[in-house]
Amino acid sequence: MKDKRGQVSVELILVTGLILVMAITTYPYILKQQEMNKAVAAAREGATAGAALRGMGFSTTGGNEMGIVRLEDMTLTKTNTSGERDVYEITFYLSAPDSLKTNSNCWMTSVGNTVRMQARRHIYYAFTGQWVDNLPDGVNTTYYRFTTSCEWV
Amino acid sequence: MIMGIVIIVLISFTNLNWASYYTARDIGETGEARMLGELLATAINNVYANGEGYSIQLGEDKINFTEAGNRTSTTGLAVSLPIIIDRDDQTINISRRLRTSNDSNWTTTIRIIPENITRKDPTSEYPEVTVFNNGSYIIIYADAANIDVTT
Repeated sequence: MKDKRGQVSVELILVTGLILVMAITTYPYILKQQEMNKAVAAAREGATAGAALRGMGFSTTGGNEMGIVRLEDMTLTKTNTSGERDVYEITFYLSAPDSLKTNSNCWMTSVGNTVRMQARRHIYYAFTGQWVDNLPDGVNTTYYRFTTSCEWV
Repeated sequence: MIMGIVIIVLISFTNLNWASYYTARDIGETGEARMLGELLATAINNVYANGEGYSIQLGEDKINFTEAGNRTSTTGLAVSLPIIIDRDDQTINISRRLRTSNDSNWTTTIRIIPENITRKDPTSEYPEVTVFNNGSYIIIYADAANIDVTT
């Protein structure tokens, strides 16, 4: 008599195996993409916070003029590679009143610096869980290095 | 493996959510700190504009220094006390520590009109915080630990 107990179909084994192989092969890509998404979300949040703080006149170097500072847009551009990391530059497009645009180059102004620094702080926090005071322009994660810049719109 | 991916994604959400929480709280409290300064500036300017003998009292319901200086409670504003009124610059300087900036001090200034400002300890006649125009000076009756006038 043929024993049929405790048996699964070959199709189920094949499908399960296929899913396992797919999961293993896509795992590094998922990790990499997840890291990118996390960094970009953190950067946007930090930049928005920086714009809000500067809009209310707050800065670390003393009081400044108030004004509506807005993060209008942001872009992500691959600029280089650093070791095994891809270097991406996050560019923030900001609008601000003329009184706060003390230089035609956004990155040379207090507003631009605050927005960029807050973005870097938030990226750093997203991966380390720590707030740090000053960060160089370039936050390293496992797969990427993120730099920041800004432009007026 | 799939569970691992799910756990990694969930942990990343948690990190971002904490960051969002701290950011929202920081910005909200910073706005409240600014409002506190604006309130004081408005009182000083009004008293100055209305002339000798005019006074405004900002009671604890309007400016609560205990909560303003509290850095731990969610109702606290983490404002660095005392609030500094710079007589020469004619400004009120409000500083607070930001959690999302490693507790570093962030300052904003609010312009005021009068130059002749001085501070005195509160009395029963002029409780904290009373802003009074005596004709020569705008006198702020407040504890030195809460408001200080510098040159």
